[in-house]
Amino acid sequence: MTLPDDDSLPRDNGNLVFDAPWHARALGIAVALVDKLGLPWDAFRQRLMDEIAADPQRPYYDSWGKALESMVLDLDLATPAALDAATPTERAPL
Amino acid sequence: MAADHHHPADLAPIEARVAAIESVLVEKGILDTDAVDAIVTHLEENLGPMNGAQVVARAWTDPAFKEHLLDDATAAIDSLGFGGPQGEHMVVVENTPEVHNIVVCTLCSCYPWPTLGLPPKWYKEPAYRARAVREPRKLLAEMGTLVSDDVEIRVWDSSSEARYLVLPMRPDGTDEMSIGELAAMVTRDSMIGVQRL
Amino acid sequence: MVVDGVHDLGGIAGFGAVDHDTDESAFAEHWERRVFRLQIGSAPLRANLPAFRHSIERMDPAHYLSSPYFEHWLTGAATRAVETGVTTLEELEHRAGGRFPLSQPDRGSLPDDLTSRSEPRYSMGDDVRVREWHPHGHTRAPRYVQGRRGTIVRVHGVADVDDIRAHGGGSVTDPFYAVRFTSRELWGEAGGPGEVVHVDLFERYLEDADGR
Repeated sequence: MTLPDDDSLPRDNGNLVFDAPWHARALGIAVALVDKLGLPWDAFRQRLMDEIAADPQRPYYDSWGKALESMVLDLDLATPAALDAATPTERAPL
Repeated sequence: MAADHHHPADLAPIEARVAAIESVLVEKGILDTDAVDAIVTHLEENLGPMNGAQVVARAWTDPAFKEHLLDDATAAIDSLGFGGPQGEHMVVVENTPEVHNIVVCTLCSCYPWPTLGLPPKWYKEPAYRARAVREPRKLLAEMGTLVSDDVEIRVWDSSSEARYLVLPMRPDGTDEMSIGELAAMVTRDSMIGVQRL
Repeated sequence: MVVDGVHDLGGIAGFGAVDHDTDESAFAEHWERRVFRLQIGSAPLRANLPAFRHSIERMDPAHYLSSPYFEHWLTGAATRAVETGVTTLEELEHRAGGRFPLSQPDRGSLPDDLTSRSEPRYSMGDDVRVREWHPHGHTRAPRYVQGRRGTIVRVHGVADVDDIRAHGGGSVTDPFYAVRFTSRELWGEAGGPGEVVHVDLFERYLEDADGR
């Protein structure tokens, strides 16, 4: 009923599955990571819920990014410096 | 298309047609089947009505969450980790003793994937799409849900970005149940609105 | 001349009972999953959802009504692959070893008004009428509400107008609303008492109830 706040509501701009290519990549990475590590999907989802609770105003897919980052760091898969240095690729895997 | 192309007489079997377009896309590097397989498996396994059921059970047991859900369903559902593709603009509509809600997409098959998964066949086929907006009370009765004449039926045709989820009424006699037990009772069909619990 | 697509099914008679099966997987057959996978997995095909939907709407009516759902996806995806130059019909039929029916050509065009808007003109409770224009191309105003009067019950927000995006006009936004119609308004004497239908409609589909 209320007009959605621009920051909190990712708009569907016509992409079939994702609002922006990087959302697709975030999903792809999360799925691949969870799959490779043999984790239940709920493990990622719990981190996602924690990130959202920590900052409810943050856009949903930004919380995804943070949840992925925390999982990667906690599982010793990368260091914060390495993540900072990583250059974003232009081509999404999907 | 070339005007002088000679069309084969016989229709190619569906599997052959699928293989034809798929092979073209793979050869041109447009489709990486290994990468996408993981995504499709995720959509099949991790998205489904068990997610929506958790939203419903939480709404039944947590009045503040229910208020949030009815006011801003997208944010409330996101907070449980159930956002994502085709869930970017959610609206939850509540069943009451006076009102029964039912959701359809007459133009195609729009459906809230993160909370209900991929839609069932009947939801996407002409009979449901044509009749849900025309004679919902009769259709519901045929599908096993009798809605008496004093109850208003509200049909929601998902013709734009919004995706609708029905919040069914909590069944009587469930006061002592845990949230997990409650969630286990909630069916996909009750969240589309073709069934009562 | 038929101007509304076969896909626009709200209110159409003759389809009989809903084949309601409560236990179903997402894909009845393996080829369906492969079709789903190739559509969502191909960036040029999934990049424009309204165009994809319209490619299905352009199917031959008999083909649309007589084919399973994922054959719609197959036909639309293949049509767009041909129309965007990824492949040709000849190549597809050669590989498939038989006829590969595609959708009819796109007869849609861009509307005159390509202005993006974000401030809603209407409020909850306003009475509106849906314009009647039955475009040749893609629209999200179902036939059964065009020309009908309803009431704004939700101010949803802002979204890209599908009619424009589908035909190469890119992102043009409009406020959109849930509009409530009584069953009697939609179906006349055949309407059911105590039944209302809500349709989500873009602002540019609407005019004031008195026709302004």
